[in-house]
Order: sequence, then structure tokens, then C-alpha cells
Amino acid sequence: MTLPAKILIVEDSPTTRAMITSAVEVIDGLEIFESKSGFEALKLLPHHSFDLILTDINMPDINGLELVNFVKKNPDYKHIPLIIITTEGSEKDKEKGLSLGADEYLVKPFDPETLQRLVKKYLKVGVRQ
Amino acid sequence: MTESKRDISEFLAESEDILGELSANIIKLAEGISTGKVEPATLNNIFRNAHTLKGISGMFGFTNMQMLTHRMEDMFDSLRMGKLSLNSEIVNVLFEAVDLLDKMLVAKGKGEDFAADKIDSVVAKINNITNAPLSTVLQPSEDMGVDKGILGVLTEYEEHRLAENIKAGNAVLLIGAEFSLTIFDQGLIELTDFLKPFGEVIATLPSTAKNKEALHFDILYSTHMETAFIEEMFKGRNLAVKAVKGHPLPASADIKVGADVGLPAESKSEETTLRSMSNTVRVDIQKLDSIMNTVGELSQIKTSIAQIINKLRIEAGLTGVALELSKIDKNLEKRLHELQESMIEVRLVPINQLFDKFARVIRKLSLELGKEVELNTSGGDTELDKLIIEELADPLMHIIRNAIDHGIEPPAEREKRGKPRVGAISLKAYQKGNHVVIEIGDNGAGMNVAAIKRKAVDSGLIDEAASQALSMQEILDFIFLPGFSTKSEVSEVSGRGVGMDVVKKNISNLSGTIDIDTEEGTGSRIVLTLPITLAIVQALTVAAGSKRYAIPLGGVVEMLNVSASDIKTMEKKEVIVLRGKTIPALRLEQFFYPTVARIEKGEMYGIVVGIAESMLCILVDTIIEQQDVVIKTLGRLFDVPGIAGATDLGNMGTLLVVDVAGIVTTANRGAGKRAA
Repeated sequence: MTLPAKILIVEDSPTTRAMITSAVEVIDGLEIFESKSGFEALKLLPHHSFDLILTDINMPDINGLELVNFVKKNPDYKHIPLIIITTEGSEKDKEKGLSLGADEYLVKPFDPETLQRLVKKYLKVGVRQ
Repeated sequence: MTESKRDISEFLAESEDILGELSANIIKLAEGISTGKVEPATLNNIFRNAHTLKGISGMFGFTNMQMLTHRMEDMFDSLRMGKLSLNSEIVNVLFEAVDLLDKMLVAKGKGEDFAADKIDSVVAKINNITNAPLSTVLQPSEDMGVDKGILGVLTEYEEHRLAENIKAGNAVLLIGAEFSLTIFDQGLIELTDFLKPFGEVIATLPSTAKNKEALHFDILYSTHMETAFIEEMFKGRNLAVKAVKGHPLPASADIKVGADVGLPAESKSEETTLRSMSNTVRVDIQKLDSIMNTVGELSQIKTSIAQIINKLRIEAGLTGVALELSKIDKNLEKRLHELQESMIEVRLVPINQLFDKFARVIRKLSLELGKEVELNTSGGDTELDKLIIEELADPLMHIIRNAIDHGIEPPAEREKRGKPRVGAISLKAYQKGNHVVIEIGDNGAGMNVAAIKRKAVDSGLIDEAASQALSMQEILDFIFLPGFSTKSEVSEVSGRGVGMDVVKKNISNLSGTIDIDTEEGTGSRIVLTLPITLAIVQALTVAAGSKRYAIPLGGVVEMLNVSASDIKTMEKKEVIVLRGKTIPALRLEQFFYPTVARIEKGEMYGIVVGIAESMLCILVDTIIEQQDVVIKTLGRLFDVPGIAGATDLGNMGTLLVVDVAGIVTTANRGAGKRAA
């Protein structure tokens, strides 16, 4: 039996968080963790070995770029694939995210299937029918 | 599909929250224009509000809403990036936009769509503002001397704030602090609270600390304070302060204080297994109502247990068993009480939810009417049952409309009368025992008591002679009669006399009372007194004549034995004298059945009730017991004055619940005789 893959969703809007969760929870073998701020994500990171992180950029305490920087600079976490999901906005922020080490960038409103495809790409897991 | 239904309610709840924040922030902007000081954080928060709204409406395919919020977001972005400067035109459009969003949400909640033509005009106004030439944005460049590593993690907005601060000649510092993993958020809040009064926290950058149980944070901070002050500020604190940019702290003069940051002893690693760290849930108020009903029914079942205990002891002679059972019964009672208390608490929300909405309305109305009005609120954190808050919105709105329309004079007239040009409306809430008092005051023209009296005589409500004997309060009571108005012309805003009777009715339905206090020329004050909750109340069950009633304990001040000789007659009304104070007395049986012949009873019970400033002694034959009741409304068909609803008491059947506030008002008006 393989252990479920752990995925961390960092998003301050409850509605958006619920939509991301419902888009990815159809994927088999996933354990989903939600946090509503960068701070919560920082607290969760040491307790779980996450296999994938999905994060927003515009958040109240620390921004998504700062979270990307933290994850990608930390030897314990830098291997974790990270996808930025945010509303279309500043090109500059997007470039920065990618140059800090984010693996993908997805624009809201997103197509659930695109998100599922991306998640599977990084986790190599199947979709429940 | 239930899933999508759940999602839309989540969308509606979040949107409503954001709209509330948005209005509060816009009000801050409006205040900022008059004081000339707008916090960058307010502009950024407002941007984030619009940004999130745009995001979630986009995901639900609500294109109209998405388009409007998108345009707002663009405008806020220009504002926070300094490309656009704030003016009252912008604020006015924002108020309009929030109003529109409010209406769109209401429509969405009903599953309707909102007419797109109204959106177009607001969007056109926003476009008009944002299409004007924008100022160029200041961007930090590497030659500003800021480390690339820092610039790399700042969002465009944070970069802009950094550049603005450098341009203003402020010192930019990087303040390093280490906190334990479990409590860092608290530590950071304390630190930023300490920093904010003297400058701006631009960004918080987390990094890995040597100690695995800790996190390191660098706070990018700018301040306009002098070097000496900054040094003093950080003295003795466990912080590593480094100058990033600016003259006050040359790089060589870095202050290093307490380089080894010790971790608090209790910082043990906590196993986090929670799926989500969010610790709030949203619950439909109807679900709470249904739990509340069950709790109410439980306490009725408990009453039956008490009766069985009595039977066991007296009829079956099982004293031991009865004692044991009665201990359990006491315990049950205590727990039930706790359960009720927490259920009531869960339903309470701060009245600020309403006050914030009114700020917007007042602004809009005063613009429409060409008046200048400022709003002062206090006690916004006073809590009331969510249901009462909802039901209060319309009556309060009406009172406020009246105050602006009829109360506050036009600016020129105010100046002529030597009053400040800007009129004031105050909303004040506070708790008083089991009640919440809401006062709506204005410093306008006040009510013309003589004109109200004249109107009452002219409309045949009272004859000239009798009108002379009326107290001011009695005259003001005419306002609450349907169709009564002294205003000769009809106004768009508050109509003509339609309303105060409805307001009164709405407030009575909430078991509340309404009092008016006015002085011609200086203003009026309307005082609403409401129970904190309606869901479950303690009540006295009493018998009067052949019927039994429940009297809610909320307004009960005390209970007395009353002999026939204690009842005096004063100005044709029955009164009792209690410790030197004359209180009107009312025989409950006669109130509901005025035609039934009065049987003189030697001994009676008096229940003294007080609502707001009025007292009344309700006379009944017997007081049976005190218990919790769930009041159920009787519906529109049974609109009986003095009756608030009915309650099902199992063993005692269904009882009518007395509307204490209604009876007090009626009795004090002197119209004691009414048909039931």
C-alpha cells in the first residue's frame, strides 16, 4: 500500500480554497491540507512532508513570493514542487515567482482539468473515475 | 447538486464579508480625504478586497460582478501604486459601486440576475476616472542600493512602497527576529504593533533559522524618525537591526542587540494533524433555530421529570428514589442552562454589522438631499441576536432617513441658525441588563410638538379640550399612528408619514419598545430598547381569570402580594404605590377580556415590569412557576395587541405569551381597554 500524497493549499479566500480543494480531491491517493495564510503554511511545513504546494500570491500576512522563497531556499523543502495559483495581474510578480523557483503558474479563474493535469504531472497519481 | 449549492452559499457569505470590509475601508478613505491622511495599508486592503471579489465571482462565472470588481481593482491598483490620487469623486463612485454589488449579491442570493444596465453607468464612471492620464510610478532600481535578494521577493506593490519611502528620505531598516515555530505569529503581531506607530512595515520575509524549532523573520521597515530615536527604540530588544537604505544608520553603525535569540521554554514541537487550521464555521441561522427549539423542548421534558419526582415522593412515598432522581434532575437543569446560554451566545453578532451599512446609506442620502451629515457611532461591538439585527435593519433605516430628511436642516439654514454647517447623526448602542439600547440622535430641527398636537386635533384623533391635558410623550405617540404626518410635501426619501407606525410594529414584534425625546431647534433622539435574544426566554406562568399566560422574565423587576386595598385610583386609572412611587396597575384578565365582570379578589399577585422608562404592575390571580419557554409566533392572522406569541408547555398545554413591552406601552398611553 502506498502512502497518500500530501498536498498543501495556501489561499486566504475560503471560496477559492474550497474550489481548489474540490478540483483536486477527485484525484486518487491525495491527502489535502488547507491553510488560509502564509503563516499557517509556515506552521504546517515542518510537520508533514508535503509532495506538492499550491499557493496564492496576494495574502494578508506574508505574500506568496515570500513563501516560495522560503520553501525554495530551505534544504528540507526545496524539492517540493510548487504551483502559484493567482488572478491575472502583474507580469512582474509572475516572473519573480518563477525565478524564485516556483514550478508552475496558473491563472484564476482556472479550469479544474488544467489544475488536475498539473497536480498529476507533479505527483504522478491517477484520477478517480 | 448539493455540492454547488453549498458552494454558492459559501460564495455569498464570503462576498458579504468582503463587502462589509470594503464599505468600512471606503469610509476610512472618505475620512482620509477630509483629514488629508490616508494610510497606505487602507489602500492596499481595499485593493485586496476587490481583488478577492473579482477572483471568486470569476470562478462562479458571474461575469457582471467580475467586470465591475475588475474595474474597481484596476482603480484601486492605480491608487495604491500612486498613479492616481484620491478625491471625493472617486469615493462617491465607490459608494455607488458597493451599493450595486450589494444589490447584485441580494439578487444572486435569490437566484436572480441583476440588470446589467445599472452596472454600465458605474463602470463608465470608473473608466472615466482611470482613463485620465496617470502619474508615472516610482520603481526602485538597483542603484537605490537595496539588496537584490530583498527586491526579488517583494510584490510590485511592496516594491512601490519601498521606493516611495526612499523617495521621502525615510530610513529603511531590516529588522531580524527569531521566534519559535509554534508562536511566531503572535510574536510578529506584537513586533509589528510596536513598529507601526513610527513607520511602515513594508514586508515580512521568513527564512530558515539555525534552530529547527524556530523561524527567522526579516521585517522590511521604513521610518521617518531620527537616528537617535531609532537607536533608543531598539535598545534592549532582542532584535538584529540593519540599515538597508537611508542616512540615519550607516551600515557600520548597525545595532546588534542580543544576537542569540533564546527560544521560549514552552516551544515544543506540536504535532499538527489538522486538515485546516481555520477554526471558524459558518452556520445557517435556521439550523441554530432548530437546535434552539430542541433545547427548548428538552427543558419542557425536564419539567415533566420534576413532576414525576414529586409524584414519587408524595404519591408513591419513594423519598429515597425521589431524592436521587432530583439530584440528577438538578444536574440536568444546570447543563441545560449552560447549553442554552452557549446557544444564545453563538447567535450573537456585533451591531457594527448594521452600523457600517448605515454609514454608506447616510452618505448617499445626504448627497441626494443636498445636506451635509456626519455619522458618529459608539458601542458598535454591542452584541445582539443575529435575527434581531436582521429585523432591525429596516426600522433603523427608516428612523435614520427621517432624521436626515425631516431632522437635519439644509447647510445654509443651519448656518443661519448659528449651528455647525454639517449636521450630525449619532448611533449609540449599549447593553442594559438583558436588553440592548440603541439610540439614534440628530442635532437637527427637532419635532414641532405643537404642530403634532394641532394635526391630531385637525384629524379628529382627539378633541381640542382633551388635547390640552396631554403630556409631551402622549402627543409624540401620535407619530406612531398609521398615516400621521405633519410634513405637507411628500419627499422622495422618507415618503409621507408612511412608516413610523410600521417601525413601531417591527420593534414591537421584536419585543422591543421605542421612545422619542425631542427639543425643537436642537434635535431629536429615538431610543430603541430590545431584548438580546428572542429564541428562548425564561417566563413566569401565571393564571388570570380562567386562563393561563406566560410572562417573559426579561422585563420583570419584582413580584409582590397585592391586596385589594393597595390598589388606588388616580385620574380614573388604577395604580399601586410601591416604596413611594406610583405605578400604573393593570388587571391582566380585564386587559384581554374587558367585558368580563370584574370579580373583586382580596389577595392578588403583582408583577412589576419595567421597559425603558415605563413601569407597570400586572395583576394576576396566581403565579404558578418559572420556566424556560420557546416563543412561537402566531402568524399574521392572530395579531392581538399584548400577545407576543404562544408556547407549548406539554403538561400545561399551549399558553399565550404576554407581550410585556406592548402592554406597558398601551397601559401608559391610557388606552387600557381594548378588545381581545
